[in-house]
Amino acid sequence: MRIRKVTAHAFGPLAGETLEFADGMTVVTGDNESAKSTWHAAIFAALCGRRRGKGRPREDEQRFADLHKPWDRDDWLVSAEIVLDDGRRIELRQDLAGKVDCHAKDLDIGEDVSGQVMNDGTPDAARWLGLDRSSFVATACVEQAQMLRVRGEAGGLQEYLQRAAAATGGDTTAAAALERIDVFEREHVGLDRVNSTRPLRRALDAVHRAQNGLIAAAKVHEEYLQLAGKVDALRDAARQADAAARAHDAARAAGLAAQLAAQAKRAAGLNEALGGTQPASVAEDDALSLQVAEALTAWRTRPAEPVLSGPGAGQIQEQLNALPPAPDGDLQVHDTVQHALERLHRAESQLQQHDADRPADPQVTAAHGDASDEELLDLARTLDAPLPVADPGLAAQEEAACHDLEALQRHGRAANLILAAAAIAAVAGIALLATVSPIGGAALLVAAVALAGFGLLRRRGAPLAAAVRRHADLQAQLNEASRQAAASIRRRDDAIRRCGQLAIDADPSALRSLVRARARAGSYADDLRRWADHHRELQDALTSATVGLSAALAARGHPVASAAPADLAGAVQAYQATCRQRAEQTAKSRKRDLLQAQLDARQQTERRADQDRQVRAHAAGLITEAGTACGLPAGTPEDTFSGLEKWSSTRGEKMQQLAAEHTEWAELQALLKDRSLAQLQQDARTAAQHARELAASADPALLSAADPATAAEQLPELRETAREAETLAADATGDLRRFAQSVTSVAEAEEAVETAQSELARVQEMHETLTLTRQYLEGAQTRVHRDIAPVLASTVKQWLPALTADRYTDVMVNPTTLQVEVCGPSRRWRKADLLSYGTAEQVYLLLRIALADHLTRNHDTCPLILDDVTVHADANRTRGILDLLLKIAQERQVIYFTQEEQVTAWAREHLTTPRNAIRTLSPLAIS
Amino acid sequence: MRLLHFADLHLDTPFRWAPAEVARARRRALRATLTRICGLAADLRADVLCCGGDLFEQDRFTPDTAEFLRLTFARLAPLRVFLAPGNHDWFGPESLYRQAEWSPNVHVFTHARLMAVELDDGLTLWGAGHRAPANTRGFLDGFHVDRGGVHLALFHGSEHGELVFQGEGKIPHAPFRAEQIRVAGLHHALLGHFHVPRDAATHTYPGNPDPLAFGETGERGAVLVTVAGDGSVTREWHRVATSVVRDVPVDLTGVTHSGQVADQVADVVAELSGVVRVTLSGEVGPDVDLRLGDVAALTVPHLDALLPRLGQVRVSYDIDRLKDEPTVRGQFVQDVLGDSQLSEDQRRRVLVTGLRALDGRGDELEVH
Repeated sequence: MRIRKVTAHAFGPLAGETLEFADGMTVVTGDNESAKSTWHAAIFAALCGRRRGKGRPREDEQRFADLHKPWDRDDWLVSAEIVLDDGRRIELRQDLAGKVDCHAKDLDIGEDVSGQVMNDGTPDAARWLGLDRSSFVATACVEQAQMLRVRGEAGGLQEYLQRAAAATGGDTTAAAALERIDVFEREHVGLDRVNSTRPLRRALDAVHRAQNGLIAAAKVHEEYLQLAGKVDALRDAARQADAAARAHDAARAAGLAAQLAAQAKRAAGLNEALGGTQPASVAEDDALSLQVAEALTAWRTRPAEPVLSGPGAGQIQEQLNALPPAPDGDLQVHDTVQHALERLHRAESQLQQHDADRPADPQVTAAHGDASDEELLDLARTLDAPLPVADPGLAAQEEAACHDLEALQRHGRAANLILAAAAIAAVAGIALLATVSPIGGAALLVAAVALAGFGLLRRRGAPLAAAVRRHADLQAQLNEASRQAAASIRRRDDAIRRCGQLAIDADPSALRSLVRARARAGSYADDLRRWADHHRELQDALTSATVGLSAALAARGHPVASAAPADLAGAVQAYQATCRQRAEQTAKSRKRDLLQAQLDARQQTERRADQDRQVRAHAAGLITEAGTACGLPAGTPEDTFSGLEKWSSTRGEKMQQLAAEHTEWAELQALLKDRSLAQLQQDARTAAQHARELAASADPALLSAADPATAAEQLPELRETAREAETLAADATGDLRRFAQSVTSVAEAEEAVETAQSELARVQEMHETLTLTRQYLEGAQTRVHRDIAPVLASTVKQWLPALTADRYTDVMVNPTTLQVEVCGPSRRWRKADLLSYGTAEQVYLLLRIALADHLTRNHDTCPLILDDVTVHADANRTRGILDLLLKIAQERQVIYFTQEEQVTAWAREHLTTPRNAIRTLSPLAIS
Repeated sequence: MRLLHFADLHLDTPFRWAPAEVARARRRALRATLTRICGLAADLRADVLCCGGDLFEQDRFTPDTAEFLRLTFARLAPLRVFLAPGNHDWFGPESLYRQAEWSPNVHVFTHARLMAVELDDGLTLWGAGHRAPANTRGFLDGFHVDRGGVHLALFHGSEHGELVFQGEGKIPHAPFRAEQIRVAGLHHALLGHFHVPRDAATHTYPGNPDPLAFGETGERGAVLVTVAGDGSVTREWHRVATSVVRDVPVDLTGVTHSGQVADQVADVVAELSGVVRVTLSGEVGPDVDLRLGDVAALTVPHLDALLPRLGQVRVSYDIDRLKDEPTVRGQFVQDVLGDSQLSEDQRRRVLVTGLRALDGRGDELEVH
């Protein structure tokens, strides 16, 4: 882009004035008050216009208006003609006051191209540069004040670069933006710490509280429902209890009504039957009736005529007097005597049996000296033992082994001879070999070796030692057999000799029989000793039994003269005979009791018969008297009794009828209970009506189930149950009402949770947004700084040596902080901010140019509009800067405002081609 | 015979979208609507008042509600009131229906099968109630009337064909098909459960009589059903809502400062009443500090409440130009636009937050 001309129609003190520019470098000179800065601002305004928007203007906008709005007129208008890199000529018109008459128009085709560069309502030509009106000021439009600001602040250069890198001329850096995010997040989100008071913690706490509130509200509601359910159940129970009581009350009333109705009906019937009057008394003729009744009863209950048979009492008394008295003493053998007698018999029997069992004498002689049974048995075994016989096979084997041994001994001797011959042949061979005939010697040696080998083979093939050992073994076995046979013969001879000494046959059987006879004799002696011992025991027992029997007989009154068996037997027989006699006498005396009982019974019977006769006579008297009283004709008592029975029957029927009438009368009175019959009937109707009313209000099912017969009995308990149930229900209802006052709204609790969760979601969403934003900003900052740092360094490095007369030759831009450092040939790096005033300004200028180049890349070429940027440079540096700008002007338009003579002089010297120009401003007239 | 039918009042329901005071006011409005329905029944000289369920919410009702209902219906005596519990006010051991000591003119259908009540000679009302909050089977399955005359039904159920009109999330409690009504020998069914009103040939859904949510469409209320001797019905819809809930959009396109936002909203709601929810949308200038709290705090005394929310609000940054900047800002815009992991909403918020931070607007970093 190149600016052809700018017309200030109304801008600050300028009115209708135009300033034209060359395509290359244009130096605009003028003294103070020649409106250099005004033109600088007018160019910017003509190119970029002003933002059109509602609301109050921003501070920088307000300042621009204060500085450059015409003081003495309402319009505020500038225009410019520019040429874009594609050759289009554009007219820009900026109505800075109304912001309406603004356009960008293609001068060749007359088309309004404002839409291509519209920015906040007005055309902004910086858009063709890839910038906007803000970033254009920050990069391509350099004011002297900006230079001063950069120099006046510590780190100003670095911050400027960061701002430019952040947003092409914005007044902030990415770091500041990040700091703003951090501050905002600390304030509006905060940390999730327990003691934090920031929104996130508050929101979390609020959600927690709200959720707890909801849980509590739901729980209370649930408790309320349960309590209500309980109340409902109690009410139901109370209703059921009441219904049961009502049903039973109705049943009772129905029963009572039915009873009254029946009573009324019965009373009416009785009243009609009795004729409404009380029946006559039944007390008349009572005395006569009683007399007749007594007489009849006496007659009916009189005893029968007594009849007696058998011997009379006198006869029985005579028989009784004739009987003997009862004897004293034993009637039968006493048990003690009987037992003693049995004991005696048993002792006698055992003694007899023992005598019969005496052991028989074996008739054995047990002599034969001092030979023991063992010796006799050894002699028998010795005599029984057979004499050993020599083994013929063993002798044959010994003989064969002897033959084999001899043969082997012969074989060994032959081998020894061969070996000896071989040795001799070897000696001879060696001698021949060494002396006379080597061949013969050698042959002889070979023959010797062969013989030696043969001899060795023969010796090895004959096991002579084994044959010697076998023969010796067999010979020893044969000798041992002979020795044993000799010893056996000697022992047998010794045994025969001993038998002779003992005078016993040397017969083994006889010896063994003698031993067995000795054993039988010993056994007989033992048996006889045991028999004698037992015999004494039995004899003692017999004596004891005899004494016992004597004592028993004495105790029963029959002493024994002596203990001799005859006396004792006699005493026993006498005692037994006496017992038999007594028994016979006793049998006779026992008839006395029987006769005495018969006598007593007979006497009693005879007395009862006398009494019956008296009763019968008395009954006959009563009948006769009653018959007379009743006026019956005199006759036998039986006839009179018949007459009285008829009389009594007639009178009984009459009395029974009267008694029935009296009973009915009593029943009627009981039914009426001091009421009239009409009153009773009215009561029955009233009860029936009451029963119907109660039945109408009762549950039909319960009523039908209630038993009228027991209803009255159950009713008090049912009423008490109903009352208790009603009390319980009322108490629970009261509890429910009190509890209801503590019930909070579940809906409100749910809403509170929703509200708290919404707030938490808002804060969390903000936290997420801020976190993401921070991440993206940090990432973008890192990448842009990394990209822009080498570009800036490269551009500055290209011009720095010439600009500083090789004082500084290299430059470095930190990609993280965008801090600029320079160094000279010594390679000692220094921060650009700390350089001299002029050098820092020139580095700044170079960075501006580099930024403009970088930020407008891929767009139209960005012109540079500079306002006295060399004011602090010395002559050499100024020249260097101007040379630099002239070189830059070969590629992009440079407009340079200055009041320096040196610059003007330089311009006159160097800007001589049509591509460059010098414009001189006249001082403004003071109005 | 004239029956005034309503359903789905949902007393004591929560209004999670509303601030606490507004929510309380909404619940008061629900009660006022029931009072109005009862007044209407008297004014129209209806013979019967019917409720098709969800009269209240079992999990949330307050003790006060029980007494309110008891007294409200008792005042209608001798006008007969028939209540058919729904899935929200299901009849259980701890139900309000059991707690309240109803006046004799009130009849609650407590069985999970249709039970008959003789309304008039030859006119029978069959009613049923939900006995559980879910899994209630269709009341018409296997049902047929057992007597002659005209038959009406009252219950809380889901007609299959209506589900498409009710939107997503409507659970088909006690489902049935419209043709089952005639098959069962019924002449008409008075129903509840669907909040969108429906007057089909064989059945009537009156809808929720007072607004429960934003965006409710259709003329809801109470329906006066007049039954002729031949079983035909004529229906008369009556609006009974005592409150208004409106949902209105506000386009902020072109707005360049927050004052204009307030003006736009005030203009839109100027002629409205009740509870108004405004949904802000459009493209606003980068400098606009749009805060919902500021909008909610607007003084609009003619409204019960003003509830702002954000719709598709875009900020008019020249993103295409910014992303080409060889600066941190340009790189930031590029990176945010190029990250496919971000949702559109996240992208918008991150962009605006970052650009505002770079613009130095450190106290306006919250983006709604």
